[in-house]
Amino acid sequence: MRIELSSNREAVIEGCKGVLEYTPERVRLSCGSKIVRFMGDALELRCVTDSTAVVTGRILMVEFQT
Amino acid sequence: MFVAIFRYLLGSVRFQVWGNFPERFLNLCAHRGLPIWGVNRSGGQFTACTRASAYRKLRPCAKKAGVRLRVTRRRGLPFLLRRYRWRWGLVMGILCFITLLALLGNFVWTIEVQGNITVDRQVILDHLAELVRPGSYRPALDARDIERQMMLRVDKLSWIAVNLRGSAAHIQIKERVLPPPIIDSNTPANVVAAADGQIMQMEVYSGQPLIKKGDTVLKGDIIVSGMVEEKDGDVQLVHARAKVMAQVIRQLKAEVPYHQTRYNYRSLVRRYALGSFGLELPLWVGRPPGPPYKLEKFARQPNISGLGLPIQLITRQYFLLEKANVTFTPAMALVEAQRQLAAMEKTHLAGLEVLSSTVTVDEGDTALVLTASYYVLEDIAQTVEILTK
Repeated sequence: MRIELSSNREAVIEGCKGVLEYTPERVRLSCGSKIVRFMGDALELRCVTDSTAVVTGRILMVEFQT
Repeated sequence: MFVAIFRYLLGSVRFQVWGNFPERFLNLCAHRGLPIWGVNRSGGQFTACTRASAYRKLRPCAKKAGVRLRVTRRRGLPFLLRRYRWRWGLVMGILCFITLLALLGNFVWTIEVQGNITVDRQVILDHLAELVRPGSYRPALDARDIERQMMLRVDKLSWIAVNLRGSAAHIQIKERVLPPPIIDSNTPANVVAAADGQIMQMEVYSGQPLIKKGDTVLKGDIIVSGMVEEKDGDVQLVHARAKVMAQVIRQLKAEVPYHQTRYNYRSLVRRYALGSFGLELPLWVGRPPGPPYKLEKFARQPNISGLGLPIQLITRQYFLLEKANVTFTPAMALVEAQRQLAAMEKTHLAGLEVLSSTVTVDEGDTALVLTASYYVLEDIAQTVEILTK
């Protein structure tokens, strides 16, 4: 898994296996053995493919869950 | 930017997703390699975008995830073409445009001449007209051959380059510095008088002078002979050269009739036309003005960033005249004659030193004649070849 953040406006997540939850305030992504949670405002999934997801918006917090 | 253009060319669809497991729908689409972007959630609904061709493939995923789909917006070139698919005129117009563009790109539209200083641009264009001109078929032109032909036709060129770029022919030239004329000192020749007069000053460079300063000569008299007699009696033929300044009489006459017909300016009418490839398209309706008139014609070529366009705006100015009979009194005729005489002096006596002048006025019955006699100092030496064969 690889996460690339551009300030707090965009996050590119490589190795993403699927979207578990998506609301404008919260995005949860499955990345193999880990779950990544993005908290923020006006979050948007700009691109979703089988291995990559791009989350844009105002990201306030990134949280890892095992 | 590139992605946006790519998506526009392929077409995109924005759709709404609602149902129980929209996240599962996204995962299914991602696993099947269906492109999804711009996912947005508002309330209980998702909106997302996909490629126009991929939208139908989303249906099985939607069914499996228990969600429903609805298209909200279609965008891109495929939809635009679909909308205009029955407009044959539009299609034909586009095809004609492309064909014309490809066809007209093979012709020379403009000719640019650069580097000329003393040689007039029009002179170059006149010589070029037989080789290349606006409307020439470019693939049939041989730039090197045009260069060779131009070097033969125009003496004053030392170098010329013809560059055919696109629809423009760029002509670059360098002018030749002409050498001074070669004085022929081998051909036997005499110096004779070019006019009647009295010799005031004589400089003999070669030859045998037959006349001295103060003598009078008639036109054609030999002043300096090319036959030089040696001390031993032999005669040698030389090319005689001399500068012979003589006092010569010049006469100028101005005649002003008392009754004259004149054309006075009445009004100005302009007529415009568009010109291209030697053809003219009038921008006015009707007939040209009737005579009498004085016509001036000039053409202006518009250009963009210094590159001339292949069209000309041709302007014809008709100075409409009206015929009028004018009667001069002797005094008025004298003033007019003096004005004409002054104008003639400027052209006929230019560069000559006027020693003295006399003016006589002859008031005739029908016209006033002003006759002026001038004593001028001028070089009357004229070289005439001695025919020996």
